Amino acid sequence: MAIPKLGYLLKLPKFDHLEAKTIEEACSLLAKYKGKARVIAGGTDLLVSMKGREISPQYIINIKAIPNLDGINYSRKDGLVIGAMTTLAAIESSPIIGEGFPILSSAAHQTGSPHIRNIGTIGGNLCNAAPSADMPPSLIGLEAKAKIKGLTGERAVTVEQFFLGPGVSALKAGEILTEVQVPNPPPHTRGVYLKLPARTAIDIAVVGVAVVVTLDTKGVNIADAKIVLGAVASTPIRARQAEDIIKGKALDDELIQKAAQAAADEAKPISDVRGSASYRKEMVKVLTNRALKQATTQEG
Amino acid sequence: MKQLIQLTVNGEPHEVRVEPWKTLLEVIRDDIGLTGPKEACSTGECSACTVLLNGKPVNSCLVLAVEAQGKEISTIEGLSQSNQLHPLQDAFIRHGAIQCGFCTPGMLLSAKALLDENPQPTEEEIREAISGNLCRCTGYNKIVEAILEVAQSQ
Amino acid sequence: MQQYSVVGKSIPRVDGSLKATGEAKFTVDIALPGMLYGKILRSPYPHAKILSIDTSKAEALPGVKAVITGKDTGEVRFSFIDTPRYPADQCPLAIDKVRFIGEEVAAVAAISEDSAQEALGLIEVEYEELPAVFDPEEAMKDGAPRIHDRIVPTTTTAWEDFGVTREARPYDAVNNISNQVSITVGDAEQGFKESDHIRQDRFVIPTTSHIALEPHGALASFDSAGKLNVWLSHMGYEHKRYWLAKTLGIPISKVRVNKTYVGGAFGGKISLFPYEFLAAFLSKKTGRPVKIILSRSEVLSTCHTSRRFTVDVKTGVKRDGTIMAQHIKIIDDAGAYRSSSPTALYLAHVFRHAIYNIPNVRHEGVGVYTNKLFTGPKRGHSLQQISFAVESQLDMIAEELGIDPLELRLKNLRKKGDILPNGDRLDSYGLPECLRLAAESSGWKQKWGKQPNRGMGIGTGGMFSGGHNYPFGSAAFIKLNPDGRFTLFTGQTEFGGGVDTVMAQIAAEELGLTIDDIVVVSGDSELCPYDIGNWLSGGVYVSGQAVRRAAADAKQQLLAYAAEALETKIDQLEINNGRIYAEADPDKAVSLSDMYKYGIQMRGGDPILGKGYTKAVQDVGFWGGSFKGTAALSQGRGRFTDAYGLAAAIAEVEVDKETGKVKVLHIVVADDCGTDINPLNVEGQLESQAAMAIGDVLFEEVVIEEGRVINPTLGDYKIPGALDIPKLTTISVQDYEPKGPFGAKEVGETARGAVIPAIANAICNAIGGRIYSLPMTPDKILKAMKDERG
Repeated sequence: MAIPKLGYLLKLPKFDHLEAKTIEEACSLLAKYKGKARVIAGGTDLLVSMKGREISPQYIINIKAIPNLDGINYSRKDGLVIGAMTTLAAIESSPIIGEGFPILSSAAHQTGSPHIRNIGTIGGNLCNAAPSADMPPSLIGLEAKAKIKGLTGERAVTVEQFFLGPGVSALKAGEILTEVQVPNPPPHTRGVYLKLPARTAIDIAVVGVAVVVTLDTKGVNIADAKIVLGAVASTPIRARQAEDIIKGKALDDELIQKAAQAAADEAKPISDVRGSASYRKEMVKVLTNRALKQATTQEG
Repeated sequence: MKQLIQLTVNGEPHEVRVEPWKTLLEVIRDDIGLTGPKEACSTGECSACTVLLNGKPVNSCLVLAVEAQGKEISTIEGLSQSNQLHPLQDAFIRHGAIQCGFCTPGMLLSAKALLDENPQPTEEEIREAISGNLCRCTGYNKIVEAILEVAQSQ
Repeated sequence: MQQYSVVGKSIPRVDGSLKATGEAKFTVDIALPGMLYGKILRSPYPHAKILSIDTSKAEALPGVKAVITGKDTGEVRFSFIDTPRYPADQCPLAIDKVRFIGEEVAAVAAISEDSAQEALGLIEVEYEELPAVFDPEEAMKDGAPRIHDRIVPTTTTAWEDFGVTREARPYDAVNNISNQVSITVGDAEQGFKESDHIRQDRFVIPTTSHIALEPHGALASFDSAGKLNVWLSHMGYEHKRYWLAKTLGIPISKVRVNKTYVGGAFGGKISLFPYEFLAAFLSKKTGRPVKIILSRSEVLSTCHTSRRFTVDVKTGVKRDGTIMAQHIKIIDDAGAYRSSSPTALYLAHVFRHAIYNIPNVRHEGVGVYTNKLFTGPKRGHSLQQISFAVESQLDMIAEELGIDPLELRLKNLRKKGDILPNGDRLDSYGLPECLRLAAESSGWKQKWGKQPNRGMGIGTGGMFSGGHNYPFGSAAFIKLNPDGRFTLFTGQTEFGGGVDTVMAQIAAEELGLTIDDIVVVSGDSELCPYDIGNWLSGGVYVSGQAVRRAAADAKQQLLAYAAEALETKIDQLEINNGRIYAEADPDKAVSLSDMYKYGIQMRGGDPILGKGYTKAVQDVGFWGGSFKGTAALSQGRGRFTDAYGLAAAIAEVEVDKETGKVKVLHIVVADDCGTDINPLNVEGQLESQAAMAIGDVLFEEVVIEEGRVINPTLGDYKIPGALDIPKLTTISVQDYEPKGPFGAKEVGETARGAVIPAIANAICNAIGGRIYSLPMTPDKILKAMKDERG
């Protein structure tokens, strides 16, 4: 966090607080005050950035009163649908998610502290677009989609396409994220999210690796694989070359090592207080290796 | 610029006039006058500002006061009843889980929220529940022992 | 071990319920009618001239009541150390230039925090940037930017005010050197000649922050009668009163430090801070109370952090491990101001000279100015830095000689009764027992060197129990109440150490009463007598002794009156449980409340008031130009302390050799604090220091780049949380200290100095490599493993 110019104060700057009762209202306000307004979800990232004067929006748009923006629903047809305003705590403890998408429970559990999870939302975690965010790698691994609503209608992008750069999401002026949709994974699919916290147990990831593998019907070869890296590029990234190495093959230690090395080569980390670039690259290799091993020994 | 809002704190209604940029922590301390929740970091990292919102522990330094209307807010002041200490408070004192006392209000509320939801937590679950509450004085182990004792006695 | 009734019992804190309910008031919680909020404008440059400051726009903002700069406050100087040789070098507001990013340049008092904040943005400062220097070795080179001009004292220095009759002289920080130390014991050259094996190594210890949960802050209120009331977050009021009086130009008797609970201090809140002076100055100017509370990032960026040392250690040993000589050279990267550098450099030698019997020592150090946030004491001051260096090297020597590291320590320990080179006596010395018990508890013999991926390490520490620093001693009063209970007045500051409880236990034990019979009034400079404070660990040993003597004094008065009332000889009386009775006939008794009445009715209105006092170091003093045994800090002469606290620690860690992540499995701390006045309290102090040491070794560092603190929030500067703490075993060895109250001495600072090297050595033992700096990050660990193999 940058040092604020005026004496390190850490108080919020002044702003107008507007409450939107419908999605249309929220989108209109965002469009009207383009560049000067931000949506507040849980507030755990937004308010910290504002206290540090990284951003000073004149208008804060509260969307908590809009109905049906939170909630966890599952159907065989549509898969898992998580409202953008669903808290990370709700995701962590949801039996539906624990049953069918345990990698998401694990990712939610590893995000922040219990206090943060009680008000932080999945929508906020995505829209804040921090390269080190904990939810995106797993969502990308599950080929999740982000549903976006704006004044001109609705659209969807993959979660992978949702991140354009550090702090920059694919939302255009006047748009809000309404839900995250996770398709039913094919049978014999297992996922693991491994996070290496930078220093203490509760900390930002210095590296995060999500691995989602689907075995073929015989349970031997890898039918499909997603290897997604967090905190080692300007956005979460798929390690596609690593994925190609293992697709169609049966995993053994040598292959896993090769894939892990490929993933490390695809990472483009920077050095910061939490870790050096070379350390991060090395850790991509270590975590990818471990995640692949864990994913292929999990119970289906 | 100031808005009139209603906040229900420890079961009692309060009407206060606040600007929208005031956090719940600031309003509880400066406008309502309850100084139990403390500001130690302002960025949601230490949880000394913990209050319970509808029973869930949150960092009140990251909650806008205007958005806390309609919720049950519990501060440390609501934990004991008429100078009768809550079993957690009593256990903290007996186990040496309180030194300087600055993290204590937040720590106790996190513990209470845990036991309300999970009356028989394991030691690991206790540490998870207070993982966001920083303490520089005690080294945590006596805090964990105190919470464990209350859990085991229920 | 003698059996006591109250002392030695794990009595819960007397202020426990106040803190558990949120009733306990800290400085941040106090509000006064008409109170204004103060904020400080700080330098954005590490080194710059101030060309002009325009405050007109800020002053014109509605709600702003005062805006001040260095022109208003003047060139008043203060510092942690202000001696004839090292006169104070700091001003509360910069005068003509700024020397670090974050230095105080102007201050505002306004009716709300928002308007104070806005006003800061309206102050226009014109700076001319100067070349800055950030590395101490660069700063010492000829041609480096000069950070301080000649410092010419404009008043007497503090130590002259305290009675040292040497005149202050101007100080020239040639090559940016702020101070030096040079201590010699025996003949190091000769010692090295007689050594069979010599090692020379360099260790680097960065600066860390205290992270007391309560942020730094002050509330000041000048009244129209000229009295200054302050509420501070601090560690002892005498130091604050002296400096506030001096810098504000008011009599010390008009400065009242009110009691507040303090949310942790750890050495970070001892000396005067600019914000304290500014709150008082603004209060005087506006005629209203002014509160200044620093934000966390302000504390991390602008309040002194722990001392940055580069330590060169050269040690010579005999083949059997006997240490013959040691040469220590320290570069103390002091930052922009000298602060406690002279003290820290000398303490780095004298804290540890009670541990090992090293016959030949050369100890040198320089404090160096650089354009960074200046450093100061943190829990143990320089013990941690020197212990990390010396104990790391001892492990390396042990490995090279093929000796068990535990045996190497045991072999070189001093003995009880030893007289140290400066004359301090080790009347109590439990360190051998500490090492033995720590070894037993940790399973050293079974586990060390026998577990793959795991390592074990040892560390030791030593610490004063108070020293001869202002105010040099403590006093206590105790008064009898009509109900036979006592009110105790002690200047001790309760910042988490449990002093309110411990002092009450001491008084209760002396008087044969229970803890409920003692009401403690502490930390209020108007009501309580002078007190040495709670840093340099003088609390229990010095103030506790004063309390005991006050209680003993009251007891004597009670017994004298009871002897009259009961017509019995005084030496045939017992006092216990609120009664005084004849030994021979216990029914022949009076209660303490009877004696209250007796004194008033029959002895001319005497209310029975006990007075007790003591000096930190009995044999030392100065008066009228003569210096009886006083310490010459920079040469290590004179008497330092009357009792040493000692500790040994053993840590067991597991290192994930792929990620470099360390899991601490077990820490055993064995401490000799003399008698445990309160065993639960002692455990708390030891566990606290073990937890703090985990942060010190694994990840804590205030990172400064080009003079800017780049990790000033708790998200970027991490301290251990509940999930980061392993099993902690604490052992209290209790070697009775005859000069301490009920045999007690220091407990709050030594253990940190023992646990840090224990964890560091354990990590190096696990990986089979050596890391020469802290913190031992995963990156460093992986690199050290590669170097070993390649």
